[in-house]
Amino acid sequence: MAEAVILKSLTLKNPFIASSGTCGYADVDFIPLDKFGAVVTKTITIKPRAGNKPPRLVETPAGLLNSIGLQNMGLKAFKTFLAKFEKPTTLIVSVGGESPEEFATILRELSTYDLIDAFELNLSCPNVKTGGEVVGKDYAAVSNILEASLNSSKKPLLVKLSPFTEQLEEVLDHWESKVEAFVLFNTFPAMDIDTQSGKPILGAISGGLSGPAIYPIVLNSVYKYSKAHTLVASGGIVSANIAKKFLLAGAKALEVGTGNLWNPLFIETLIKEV
Amino acid sequence: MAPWYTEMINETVKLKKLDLGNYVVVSFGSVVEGELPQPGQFYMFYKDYVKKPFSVAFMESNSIFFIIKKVGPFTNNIPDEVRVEGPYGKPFPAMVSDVFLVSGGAGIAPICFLAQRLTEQNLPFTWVHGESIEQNVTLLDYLPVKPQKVSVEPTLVTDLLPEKEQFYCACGPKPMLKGLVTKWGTNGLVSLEERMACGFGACYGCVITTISGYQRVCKEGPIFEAGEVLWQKL
Repeated sequence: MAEAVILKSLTLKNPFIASSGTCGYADVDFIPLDKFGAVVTKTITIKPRAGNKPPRLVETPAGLLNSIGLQNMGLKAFKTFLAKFEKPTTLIVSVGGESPEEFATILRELSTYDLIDAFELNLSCPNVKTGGEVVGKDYAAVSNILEASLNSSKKPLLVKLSPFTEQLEEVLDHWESKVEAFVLFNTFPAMDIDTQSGKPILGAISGGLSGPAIYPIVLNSVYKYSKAHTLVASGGIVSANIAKKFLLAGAKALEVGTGNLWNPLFIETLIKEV
Repeated sequence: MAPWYTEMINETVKLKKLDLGNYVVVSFGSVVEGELPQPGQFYMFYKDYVKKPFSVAFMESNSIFFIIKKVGPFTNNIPDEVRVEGPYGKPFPAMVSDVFLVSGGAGIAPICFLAQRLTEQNLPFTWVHGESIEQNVTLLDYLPVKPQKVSVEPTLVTDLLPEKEQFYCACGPKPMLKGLVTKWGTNGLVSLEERMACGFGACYGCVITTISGYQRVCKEGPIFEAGEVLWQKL
């Protein structure tokens, strides 16, 4: 297939999007990013973040557990980076923050860059004030961020939700007409324990689970909500066959993450076989 | 410059395996010029949702050999066929004469490949290797180049070091590397390992703590200057 898709205002040359955190700042070597319909950068926060202490990865059956901790260069350095950047394809910048104001600030400052085609709000950022809950934990929290973001952004907004967003239906119903698309979902909160030491394996204790282990759960939600909503599916798309399932379930586009990490040429398989 | 993907391998290969008890010598063939790995570089092996990095141990004609220690589900039962990607990572820089090579356990792989290249370049070197048990020493019979001295615990490889420190290249378990740094300081290069998801710098999962912050083992490494590494955080 690999035909162009239109979300609402945004046209992608194919439905495949390299997801945030799997292709650096849309500048990673080895993955032919120009072949994707769009690429989402690492999440940008106002201040640079060193990320979580290692270990940051755990291998799990049919999945990948990570706790990178939003390591990124921060808004100021990212603007310097953009000044010399040539984007490989449609460019979506992932934006993170701990408060609606932080989202608004980043969106306002980056909206002036012509080469950015859209933003993706990462609503799974940890909220330090509430002890690490995600910033988009429920309808009220998501709504506060979306109000501030819509007032500040001059570009289409994709909204990447945590799989455990409370009052998910209310979020989708209320904000559907105002955003470009919802991305279902970010990684699933998860952890693992080393039986020899008796301790959590990840330096940050918990992280997010991706990979094929989660695709049936995500597929269930995409199928359920795709009739009334513009959805980008994200979660466990590591084969052309799984990609087809999500398109059949009604997703308009597909975010691919772990699949790129496991095979940097995965996009070629998708274009050929989906 | 040609795009990267003509200079590296990303293909499914059949593996040849020689089971030596705790080690398996694994190889695949048919690499062509332009795809040749350099000492310190590694390949990712992928099979059924598991992807693992393995350093090149030596080459024979156009085949690449790996020395893999059995430590978990994948290495205990290495598949007959895997998709390989590589070579990845920053190799050892060009060497001079009289480098001191130190390896321990599975850390023998990159050091052996370096020793092979040094031998080909007629650059003299000293190589000491440590093993945890006597049985593992049989591995050395299968290598194209061999260490001059081998220790078996309770003797440690660091017990074999001369008093006067020398410039070193080392790879091995973290306690061994820390012992080396304690004894000889940081005038050397170390090859480090971490859990990896991608192997090519995309995921930022394999970082270690250095004097300039977190650095990716797969991209900025796996070869690091010993003085760059914050050893107390390793």
